[in-house]
Amino acid sequence: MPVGALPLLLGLVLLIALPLLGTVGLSFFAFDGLSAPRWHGLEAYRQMLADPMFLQALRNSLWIAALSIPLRLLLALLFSLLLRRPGRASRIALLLSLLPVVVPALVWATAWLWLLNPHFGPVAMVLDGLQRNGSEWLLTVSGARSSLVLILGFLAGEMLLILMVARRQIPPSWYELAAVEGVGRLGQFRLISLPVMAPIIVLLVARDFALTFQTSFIPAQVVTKGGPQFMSYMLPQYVYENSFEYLRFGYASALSVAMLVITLLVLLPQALVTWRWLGNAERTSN
Amino acid sequence: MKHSSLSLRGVRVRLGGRVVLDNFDLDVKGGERVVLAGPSGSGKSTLLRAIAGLVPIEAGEIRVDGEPVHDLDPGRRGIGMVFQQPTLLPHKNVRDNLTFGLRARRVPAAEARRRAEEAADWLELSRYLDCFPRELSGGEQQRVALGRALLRESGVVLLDEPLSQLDAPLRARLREELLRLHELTHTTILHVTHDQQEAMALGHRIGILQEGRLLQIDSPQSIYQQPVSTAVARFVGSPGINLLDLQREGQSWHWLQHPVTQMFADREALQMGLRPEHLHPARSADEGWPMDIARREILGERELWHLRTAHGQALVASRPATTTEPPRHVHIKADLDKALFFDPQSGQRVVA
Repeated sequence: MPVGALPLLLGLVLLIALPLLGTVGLSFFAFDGLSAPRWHGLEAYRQMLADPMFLQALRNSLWIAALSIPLRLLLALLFSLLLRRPGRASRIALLLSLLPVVVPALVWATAWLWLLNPHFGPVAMVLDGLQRNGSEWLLTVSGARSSLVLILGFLAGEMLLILMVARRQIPPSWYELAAVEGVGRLGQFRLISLPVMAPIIVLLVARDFALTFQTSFIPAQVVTKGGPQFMSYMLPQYVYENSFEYLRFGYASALSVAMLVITLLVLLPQALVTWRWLGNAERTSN
Repeated sequence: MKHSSLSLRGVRVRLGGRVVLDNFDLDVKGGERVVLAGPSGSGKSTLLRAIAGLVPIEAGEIRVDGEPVHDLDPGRRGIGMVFQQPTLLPHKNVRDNLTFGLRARRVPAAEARRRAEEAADWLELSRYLDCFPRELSGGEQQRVALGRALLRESGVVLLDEPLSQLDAPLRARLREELLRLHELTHTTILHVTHDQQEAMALGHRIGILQEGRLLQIDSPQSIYQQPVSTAVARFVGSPGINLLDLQREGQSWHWLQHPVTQMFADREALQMGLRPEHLHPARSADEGWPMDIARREILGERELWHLRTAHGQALVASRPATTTEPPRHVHIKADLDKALFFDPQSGQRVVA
């Protein structure tokens, strides 16, 4: 191994591998941070599987991820195609869509808190205008959940940036050929843009899912507080409350390990598909 | 196979505010191969893209088989096109690339496959049908692109410098291939190139394009032997034509003290064009112009003499190659019956 990789390796071990091992280890103990940890074996995991709060938070988290990631992808894909020509309009649109990604998540969530404010927020006003009860919007299950989906879905700037670059890499002559061959706009998207961008799309979706438990924490904590009736309660919120409010560090660790395992379970098939793709591309390029 | 006529009348195309083509006329008969040659920036690619419908025309009309097509979408004009870079979709194999246009037109899969296999057969690409573009050489890729344009049985096929990205031996082979395919299909071909040799080899008629204007369109022989202007004369032939300014001596025109012609006595000035192959060493000093051979360039079967007169004017003569070193000082005579004469002001050729 080259010596230059040493700092990176050190960082990986100190910041990721050791805490991970520590978390796994801690999940076999009962520990309140005050008295010495007590060996608990697999008790935390048994408890978790029977814990209705855990199952509800898991359901909510997966539900929000399953809606917000496709929404984000759809927005990014749509704009990457609309903004395929470089120019001032596309730069401004890119800047606007990147803003929510570069401002701290807390600021983004707070801005939504104002947008969704039941008394004077614009969303409530529009809903009132549509003869719905706007001021109760955030208090309904579907309202709270769709608010979170929107907050997370609009964080599409980074994906848009990558997809825009990918779209501009496709030579214009391919589209001209398609036009001459009688392929319409939709066909051009289906036959050229989508297949060429597919590996990047798969990677982006995989990455977004890997990060979904982290990105959903702040908006849920700030905007809905998990309500109403824990129907928008996210798994990372449950981890946070268990560790820092109930001081059940052992149980919180077990929940974290569960989050990691669920993430890996979802990512593994995607990784296999991507590897096979990349392998094929490698073989055909030789 | 289908072959349509193509005609353009008064076509104007503006690109980024600049008028690239204006009042452009062109007629291509069904089954004809017309090659338009011109330097880069002459508007030849723009012309093809306008015919294909990839850039809009501002004025004029484009007809295929007499039917106006300039308001139709590119895909509905009955026109196929081969681009400069081999434009194959990297994620599709050769078979799917060949049938790309057919499938877009909802030709049944079995029929499309049959036609792709037939085209692959003419193109000698049958064993590559399941390969991906990356596995093919540049020449093979361009043959697939050619096959795709042909198997759609469009009435007119536009070729936008399809050979320019290939190396010389492959280019020569593909030229043969193009001629062979044309004999098989008799489709109408409008081909643009910057390579005058390619134009000469491939066109029933060739047109010389400069700054968006068609200077002359005629058979390759006529273009070479009877160019309408110095611009055309200079563009065809390699090495280029020698252009010499003549002096008037009484009733006849002279070059370096030797009489050249007695015609055109009424003109103010006259320029003479001599092709390199029409210059020969003279046997005696009074038969020719004294010159130095500044450099000798062996091309194989022929050799070029880069000549210089006492006044420093450079000429090129093309000679059959010999093993003997020519003398440094020579006298050069010309086949004056093959000389071309031009008006130096306008550049137009003048005839008696």
